[in-house]
Amino acid sequence: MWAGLACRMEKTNTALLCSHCGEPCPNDKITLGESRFCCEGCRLVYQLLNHNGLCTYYELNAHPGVSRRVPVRKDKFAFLDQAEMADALVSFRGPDQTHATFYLPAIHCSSCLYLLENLHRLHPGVLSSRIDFAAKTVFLAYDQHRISLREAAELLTEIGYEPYISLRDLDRARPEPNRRLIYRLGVAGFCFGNIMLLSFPEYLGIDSSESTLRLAFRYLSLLLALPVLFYSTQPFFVSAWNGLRSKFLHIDAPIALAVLVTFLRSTWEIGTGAGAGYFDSMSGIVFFMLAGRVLQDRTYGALSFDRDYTAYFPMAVTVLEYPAAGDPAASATPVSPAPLEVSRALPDVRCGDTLLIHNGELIPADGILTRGDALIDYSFVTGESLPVRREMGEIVYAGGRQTGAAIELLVIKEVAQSYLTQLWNRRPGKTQRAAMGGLTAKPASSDEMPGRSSFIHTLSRYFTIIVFTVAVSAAIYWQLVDPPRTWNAVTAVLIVACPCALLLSGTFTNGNLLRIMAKNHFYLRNAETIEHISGTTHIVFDKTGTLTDTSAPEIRWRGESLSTDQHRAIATLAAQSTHPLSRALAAYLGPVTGRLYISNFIERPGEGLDALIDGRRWTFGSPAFVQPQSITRETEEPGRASALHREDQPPGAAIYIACDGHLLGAYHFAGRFRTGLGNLIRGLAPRQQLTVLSGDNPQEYRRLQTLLGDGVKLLFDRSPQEKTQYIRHLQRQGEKVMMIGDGLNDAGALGQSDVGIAIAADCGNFTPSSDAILRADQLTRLPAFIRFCRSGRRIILASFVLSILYNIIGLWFAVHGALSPMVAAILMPASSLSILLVTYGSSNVLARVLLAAGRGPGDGTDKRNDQDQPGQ
Amino acid sequence: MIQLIRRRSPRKYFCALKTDTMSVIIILLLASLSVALLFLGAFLWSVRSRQYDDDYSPPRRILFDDKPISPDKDNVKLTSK
Repeated sequence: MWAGLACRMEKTNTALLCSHCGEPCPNDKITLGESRFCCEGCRLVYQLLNHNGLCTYYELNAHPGVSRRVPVRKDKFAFLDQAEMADALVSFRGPDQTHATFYLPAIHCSSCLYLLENLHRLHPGVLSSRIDFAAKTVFLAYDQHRISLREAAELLTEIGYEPYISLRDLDRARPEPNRRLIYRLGVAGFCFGNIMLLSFPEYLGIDSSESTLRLAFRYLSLLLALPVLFYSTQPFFVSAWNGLRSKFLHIDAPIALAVLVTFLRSTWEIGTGAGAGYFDSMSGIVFFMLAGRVLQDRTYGALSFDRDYTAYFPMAVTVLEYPAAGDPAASATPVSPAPLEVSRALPDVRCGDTLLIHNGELIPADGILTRGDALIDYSFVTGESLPVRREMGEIVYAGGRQTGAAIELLVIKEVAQSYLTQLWNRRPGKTQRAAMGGLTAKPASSDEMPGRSSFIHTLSRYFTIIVFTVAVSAAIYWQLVDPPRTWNAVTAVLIVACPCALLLSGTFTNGNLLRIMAKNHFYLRNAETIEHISGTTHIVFDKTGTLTDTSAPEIRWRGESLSTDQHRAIATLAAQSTHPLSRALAAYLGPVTGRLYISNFIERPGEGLDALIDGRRWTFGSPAFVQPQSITRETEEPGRASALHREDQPPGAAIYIACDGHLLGAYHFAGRFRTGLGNLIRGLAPRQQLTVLSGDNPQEYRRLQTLLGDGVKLLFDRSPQEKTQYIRHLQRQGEKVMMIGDGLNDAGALGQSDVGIAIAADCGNFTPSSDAILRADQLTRLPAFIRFCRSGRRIILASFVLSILYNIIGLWFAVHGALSPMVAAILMPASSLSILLVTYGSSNVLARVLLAAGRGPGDGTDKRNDQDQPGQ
Repeated sequence: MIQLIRRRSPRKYFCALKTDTMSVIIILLLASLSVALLFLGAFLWSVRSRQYDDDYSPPRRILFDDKPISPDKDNVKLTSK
């Protein structure tokens, strides 16, 4: 019945989309009942789920599945059979159950939740499964006698949720997220509420005849204020102290002083019976400030800003072991002993090992190619958009992804010393602690020292100076007029005038800005980044993967118009080749109906291919290969030939196609530039200088220049080091640089720049260490984001001015030496609450004004990009 | 508290009433504080046991029904179509 429902849903939408993953179906051959599928893999999943009564999966969301068109190697998870590697994922081993956690990047909707929590219906060995949606992990409890960890991983893969197991998982010491701030907040809130209640009788005028009761209330307040002072306020004391030690007046310093003074004076008042003290105001303000910090320090479950190479590398690789001569296994097979394929943990790979790298796998260590044709996609490492060919005997650097048949590689440098690892570790400044300090860096929390350049600190410094001046003048005045009241007045000034309002307006505004931007798929590492973004004067873009969309190259035909037969022949031949350009072409042309007979198929690596179809000789490839005599042809037929070779032809790679020696034309491949780039540049140009810094060759110079306009500087052929140097060069000229990039080749530049923004097709994907992560389809909204960050500063200032009004009223009472606890208790929360309302209200209104235009598509599109996942 | 009660004297009935309400207030105060402490404990425990980490799945998880598995029936339906 559920299948029937799903089918009906299908018909109302469009009949040509895969019922499982929603991708267009190439043909209508693959069906099950009334449902159509794009590939066998999708059909199998559908069948499996249908068989087990799990079709609710398809009801909860339209096309929730993940395309299974790229099959996963059968023994990919063989390494999980080895205990040491399984241990990295297993958290508990009992006599009849084992617990393990997998990271599944494909989790994206409630259907995933439903299916993955019903795994026990697909396999009886799974006892229970539970998803942590934010972290995209599944926790499995399984019976190890009935299903092994490897089988569990394969089961997940089978239904389209391939676990991503990286080298990072081997490192067990992963710190728990820091929740101490929330505990502090909870304690402060508890104490604040209770002290407030206990203070009410005091404000409402408790009878002096009830002195016992009054005393009980006061001492209880004192008791409740202790955890606030010693536990909740601790981060303020710590950062104030750290600041003072390095001769820097942190905003926390006057705050810590105010809290301390309030506490001491209140204790003194209660001890001498002079008054009730200001414990309620003190704990209240601590509570609000902590709440602001918690808001500001938000973390994003599946996102990580400090990933290093271990998250990119696989956990295990296939090592070929040639049995030794004396080995009994070798003597059993007398003819040339076949090497054994063994999975080995990556850190255990040594120089001299031979690695077997399958299609789509990452090359984990530098090595010499010993067998096979390497065609390596280095786009993530170098920014080159096209794969690089390597011949046998050549050195292959780590970090690339092999495309095509499996290759063998003799390791010459261990993983920790490979080129990629070096690249990663050679990062300057702010992110270095992440790279050097271990595998996982601790998230930036308020316990650390925030940046000193922040204008909040500058403001607070002036503020503190003014406050001290007021305090000193009040002291002098009362010393002359009425000496006993001096102490009273001075402490009151210090209590009232702590820059907590400034801190509150800062943290609440920033916290809300972070939240709003995260909703718009722009995730910032911390609040400091907001200020850096608003101060940006120069924006540097990477090209490949940032301005272009690598997942879909743009293919254009230039030449004679083709007949249907010719089209079919080209598509058929393109499908035969393993060259990535041919494969992209085959995908572009779509599947062929009916088979054509191909003979004499010859493929020359790096040149082209040659074959006979229905008696006609077709040649694909470079111009020289397709038509050795093309120069002579150009003189014969100047019109057409020059149309193919003229300067203004689309640059980039091309496949030239000839039939029976007659040049038909060429398919030109160009990186597809993201839509709306012109608007992006127009939005940014007035206030920032712009540069495009590419690791790619300058083929697309003209096209990019016309697209972006003359105001943008274009630099090509830049190595990762040169990119970093360029950023440093700009910074020396006093520029505040924002770097936007996606690949590892940008890692250095992202680290060097004032704001490094990593572009990710899917934010759960692997991104180099950065200050912010921006979802790729939101790139064109960058001008709006920058304006939004800038407006944050105005909001902070506005609410600060408002709070100063409160402070002036408070100071007026204070310098008169008449600050009653009642006045303090009203002023403090009133100012805090109005700041809260102003910051929240205005930032939400601004978000609606600035970010409303061009809101991107919803989360439903995330999964389309899942094939870019590392390790798949 | 016992002292407060002892101090009660028949001559000053009004005062006695007052001390009585006072002791009641203090008892109530302690009771309310311990209840509040209980809630604080509950809050800290819920944070520690990661209940706020994932705000997506719990509200959806509760909506999924456990439908009976009828594999054969479904399959027949599919193939007959």
